Amino acid sequence: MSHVAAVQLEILDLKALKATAERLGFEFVENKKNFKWYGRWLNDWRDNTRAAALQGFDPKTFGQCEHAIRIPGGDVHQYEIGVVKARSGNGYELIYDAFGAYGQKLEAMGGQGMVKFKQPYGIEVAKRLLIKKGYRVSEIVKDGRIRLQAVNVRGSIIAQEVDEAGNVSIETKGFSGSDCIKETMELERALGRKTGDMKTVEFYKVQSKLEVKR
Amino acid sequence: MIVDLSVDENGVIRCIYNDDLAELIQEGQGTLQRASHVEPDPKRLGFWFADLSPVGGPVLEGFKLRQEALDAEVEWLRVHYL
Repeated sequence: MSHVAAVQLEILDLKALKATAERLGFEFVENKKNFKWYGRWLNDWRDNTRAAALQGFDPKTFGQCEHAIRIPGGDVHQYEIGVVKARSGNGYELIYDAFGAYGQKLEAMGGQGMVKFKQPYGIEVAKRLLIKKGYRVSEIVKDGRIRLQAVNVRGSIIAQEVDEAGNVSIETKGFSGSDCIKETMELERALGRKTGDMKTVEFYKVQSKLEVKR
Repeated sequence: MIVDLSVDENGVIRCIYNDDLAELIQEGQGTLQRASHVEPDPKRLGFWFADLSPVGGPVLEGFKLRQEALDAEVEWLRVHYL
């Protein structure tokens, strides 16, 4: 009964892009409005899939960008990557000069067409969203894919105590309202008969909010 | 609650839908579709099956409880789809 999604992200999140650049060994330079390249458009590259001029970028704008990505500590002439507004009008695209040794060095780190940015960017965006939603996230690399496994940690069981008679008490923290009851139900079933419970302040806080709404 | 997703080398994110991932899915381009049909088995009263043909998967059958069929469906997706 599940639904599944397969999605390729557009670059909308600059913080995630910065983290991605750093993950690949680059340096993200915020608000740098130009990026280094050969400097003159010679109209001598005819690769339909890679040449920016053949993909709708105006050669007059080459070298201009919103932000730049560079190789830290590199040669002063080393080319850079421009973060430019996307042609679709939504988000950003990466543009760079692939010519010569300086271009090759960029591609050695970022891949042809900066394809190596795609996977870590997806990971960074997903991780940030899940952490914001209250999940604890772990990363697993397997067969070229990176898996993210995330467990919701909005609430947790913070203490379990057993007294001399074998009675167990469970204390929870961080759950909203009756969520703690749902979360501890399985544990209670495994332990045996429940003899009582004492609600925390967090439980009543949400209950009283509900009463006001009525 | 556990969320499990994968990202391949082309940046394609695959996930089992969860409302907490809605914003992520809305940031991209791709597909969002039904993964299976979990139904009572008409050939064995009280039993359940999970038909994963919407994602090119098998029919998993013989489950005595509906929840077992749902769990098997998610496990198959985790192993084969993500």
